[in-house]
Amino acid sequence: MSRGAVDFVVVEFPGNTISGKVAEQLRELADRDIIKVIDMVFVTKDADGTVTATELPHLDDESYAGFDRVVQSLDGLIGADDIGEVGADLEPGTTACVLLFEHMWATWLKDAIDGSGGRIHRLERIPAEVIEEAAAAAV
Amino acid sequence: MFRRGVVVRRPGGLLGTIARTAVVAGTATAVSGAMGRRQDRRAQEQVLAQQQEAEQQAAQQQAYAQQAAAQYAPPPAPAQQQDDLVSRIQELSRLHEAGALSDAEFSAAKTKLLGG
Repeated sequence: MSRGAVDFVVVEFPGNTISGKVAEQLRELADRDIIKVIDMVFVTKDADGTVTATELPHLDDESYAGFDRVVQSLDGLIGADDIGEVGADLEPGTTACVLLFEHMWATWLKDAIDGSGGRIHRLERIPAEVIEEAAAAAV
Repeated sequence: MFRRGVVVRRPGGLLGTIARTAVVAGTATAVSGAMGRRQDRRAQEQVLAQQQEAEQQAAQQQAYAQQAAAQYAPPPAPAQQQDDLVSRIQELSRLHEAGALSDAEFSAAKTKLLGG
């Protein structure tokens, strides 16, 4: 199976704890083969601006158990520069879950297109705000 | 509890790679989120900087060529420069519509082009 496009998502939380609800939702999407999480790392920015990256295996037992079930693999594709960039963008006193996930539906679609001799001529992601704006303007 | 091993991360990054790809492709796709916008702007700045550099080089080469050709040929017609200006404004406008340039950035760049 070919590789589909991958989303790089940063979810920011206040304080230094990550909501377990996110892990739950991600697990559901992963269980239903909608997404496949292929990398994950946690970045914390202290009130004084110090940035710390925490790898999944270093989480406390409860968080580890929640997120380990979500992650298909840790490919290490989120690079040191990415962590630095995320850290620079974070508000002090927040923690971010940085994750990389593949859209499985897109992979299937791509395989079907390739198999039928077609090709993806163009693929654009339109931000939600742009769609909302366009839809509002059309009314 | 058995735990996964800690992954070895690459020194580089994916975000930098897509910013470079956008520059090479000459596009800056609008991405949702503040980080995406910042990245687009960065990529855009790089594109503009590269364009400026290329233009400066071209201008310099043209100056040399003009020096060399001064005794043999007349200087290029002003109409050509006019066309160039129009196409650059059109390009800016396109970037503006695509959301890669904000209103303020677009007008600033246009003013600069028009020598205002």
